Amino acid sequence: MLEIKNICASLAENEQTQILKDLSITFETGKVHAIMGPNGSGKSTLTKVVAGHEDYDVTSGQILLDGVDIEERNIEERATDGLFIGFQYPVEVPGVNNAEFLRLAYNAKRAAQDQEELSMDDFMPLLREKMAEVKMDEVFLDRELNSGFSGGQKKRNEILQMFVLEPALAILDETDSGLDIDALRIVAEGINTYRSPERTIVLITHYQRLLDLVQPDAVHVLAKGRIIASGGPELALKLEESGYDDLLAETFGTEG
Amino acid sequence: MLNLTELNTSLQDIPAPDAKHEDWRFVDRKNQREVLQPTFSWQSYATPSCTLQDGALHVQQLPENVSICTNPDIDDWVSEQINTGDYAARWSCTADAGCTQLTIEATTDTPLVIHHTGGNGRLLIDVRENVQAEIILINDIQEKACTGFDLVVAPHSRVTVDEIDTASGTQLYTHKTIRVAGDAEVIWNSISLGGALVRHAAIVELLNPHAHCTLRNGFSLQGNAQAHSFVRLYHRSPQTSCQQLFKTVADDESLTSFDGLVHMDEGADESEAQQRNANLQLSDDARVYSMPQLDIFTDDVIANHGSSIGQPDGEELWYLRSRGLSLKQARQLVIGGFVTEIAHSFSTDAGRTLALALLG
Repeated sequence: MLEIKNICASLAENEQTQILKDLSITFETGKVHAIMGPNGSGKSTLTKVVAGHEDYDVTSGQILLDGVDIEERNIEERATDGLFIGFQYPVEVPGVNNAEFLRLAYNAKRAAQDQEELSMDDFMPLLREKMAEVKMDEVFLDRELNSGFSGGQKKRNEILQMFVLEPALAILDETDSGLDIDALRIVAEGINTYRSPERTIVLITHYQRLLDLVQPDAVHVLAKGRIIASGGPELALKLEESGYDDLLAETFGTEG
Repeated sequence: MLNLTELNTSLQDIPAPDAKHEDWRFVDRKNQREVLQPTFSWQSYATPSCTLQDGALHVQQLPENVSICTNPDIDDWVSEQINTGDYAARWSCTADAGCTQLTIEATTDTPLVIHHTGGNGRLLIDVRENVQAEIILINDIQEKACTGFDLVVAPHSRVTVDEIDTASGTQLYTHKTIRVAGDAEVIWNSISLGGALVRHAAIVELLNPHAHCTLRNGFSLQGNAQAHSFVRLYHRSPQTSCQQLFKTVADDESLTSFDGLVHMDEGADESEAQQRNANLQLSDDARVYSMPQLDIFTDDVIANHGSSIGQPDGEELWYLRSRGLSLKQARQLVIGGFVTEIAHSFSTDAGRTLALALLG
């Protein structure tokens, strides 16, 4: 379970620019949560703050992962603690072999759990199994990490990484953006396969189309750096129909 | 016409270059120091077709359709090269230097593997029309080499060259002249760990419409290794194209430079050129010089160039760390991958495997 309590966060290089403002939310274990909100509301910042990105300063509040404050944990420690971020724009890393990268990431997790690291020979059967689960062609094993991948291939590679690393909490930041209908369906199938009573999934999205394929347990609306509404799947349908204006006016007044 | 006897100068007596067209300012010729490089056994990756020493070619087994001429008439070639004032070209044209010509008459079914062991001399490679050929050039230089390579590619042909410096502990100068005819393509990839002084110069001419050339180069330098690239690429006709990607990782006290010029002649309309030089400077004592240049004498072309010198990309490090890798691991991957990208683009399986093994 991830509890975010009264978080305020700003850019490290400009603390006057507060992006998250007294934001509180709880993501219960076993649930799929959707976070929606207008552009510039702080959705991606929330993701990066939870992940421990050094460009952001948390000036107050707490982030508790299974009851433990992770403020002092760095990026990689949060990852081996079981936190996974699926990026909106996965970074291309030229020259780094995809399979080797996955093995190193998997071994980092094993090392954190005092388990022996796997050789490539021992890792490959597991990797092949996971690739089959996300319907990914094995040709991508020998490709350079995300380098030259299409938008859909990058997103599918993110889902593959999630399957390999098996995080307890996955935050997928606009994982549906830039996908065609078939790619969206495959990614959604992957998410549905991954959901379980032991895992928490947070979908950050602008569109109902992903939520048509992955039914969320809860929907939250983030605007101006804080959560302004929470509800069930019907909230997303209402937003799809009428937009954010009414909700913003209701929360922030006519100037909102 | 230049007389070879006029060049009867011994290797050691050649004075410091006073080239009009080349810029040697970044090359530290006075302070070359011995460079210790790990022994690399390339023999398990490739079987040589021939060995090149002092411009003489000792043949093991040439691929089918490749013939050899040991005494070509090189005056025409030499006169053109010598007029560029290029130091390496002069060196490789001294009277005591040997010269050999290889002719590739038709498509080869196996790569031509040239094991270059040093000395000074020239190798001319004449590729005829409608030929597909693959060449692997292994610079296995134990002492010193100054070698001219002339590659002439006739229309409708495609030649790939994978070049690897497997041992360059002392001095290695190469001077390449590449001439590409219409509807022909040359792809030249190279990888080097540098040496006391490694310098690769390439003069490329795209002679007729739809001639294309790709140059990719990777240097991975440690200790006090030096490695330098010098490129002059001339678009002589309309609708010609080139792509250049030169990447270097410079660590410790290493020294590197890129001096590249794309020249588009008047009338070379609808031509395209991309030139990129990217460098990672990993220590304060490493030195990186970059001089990308465009000379455009016509309109209606697409030409861009760029240069970067910096540290490993922060976004790449963040991405890798977000998957649990430590900062040290992430840096190692990003730095290793920086030049490995060039090795991955090698055209032949053997060349690619060899280049990746060299980079470790």
